Amino acid sequence: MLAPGLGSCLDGPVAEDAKRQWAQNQKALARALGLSVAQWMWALEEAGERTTRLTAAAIGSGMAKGIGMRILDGLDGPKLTTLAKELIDERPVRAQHPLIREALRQGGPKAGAGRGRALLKRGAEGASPPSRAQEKPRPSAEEPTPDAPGDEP
Amino acid sequence: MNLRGKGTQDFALDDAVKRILVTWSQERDSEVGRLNLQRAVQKLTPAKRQQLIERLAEVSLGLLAVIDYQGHKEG
Repeated sequence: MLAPGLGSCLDGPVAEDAKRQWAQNQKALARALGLSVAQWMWALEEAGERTTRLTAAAIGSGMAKGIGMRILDGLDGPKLTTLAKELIDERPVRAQHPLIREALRQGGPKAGAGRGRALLKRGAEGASPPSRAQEKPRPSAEEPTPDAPGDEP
Repeated sequence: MNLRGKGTQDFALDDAVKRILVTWSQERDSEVGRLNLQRAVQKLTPAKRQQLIERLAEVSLGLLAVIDYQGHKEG
């Protein structure tokens, strides 16, 4: 355990969970920005090349976590970008169509290579048919409208 | 040594982009935060949207750098 103020370290499984959570947050962030996962990974790759800005961002994050400037030890933009893409796209999809690729990428860990057809079939089998049962008429059903004036009062 | 004018990257940030980043940073991993971000992004011009995307990408990599550092260093 590190001395207080030097920043905590994460155990193996906890670090892996943190990385997985980071990757999920990235996909959600891409959706919020109106970008596909592929476009967001491209943005991350370009960010990895902006060394000055990336350094500033890393220092800021490091300071917030109590790590300080030690975050610069081994900070490598392209290496970080590669890790980012591996985490976000951990099971690269084989589909060619960009919409299907995006759907599979956003589908999470269960989606991925070779799972598209299975997911589509399961989705269709699990869907419940629409209910056609007669419902109790609502009060507004009795109100006359211009195209359905009803009986004369 | 005169450092004036030696910077190679422009750190200027549009005010609207700044406000969005500040708001997002307060609820950054929440559905509410992302919904607010989505709404705010739709009101931006393409140039400001691009600036926001670039800044968020840098922040995201910075966060990953911290996670990676914490996972590698031993206590």
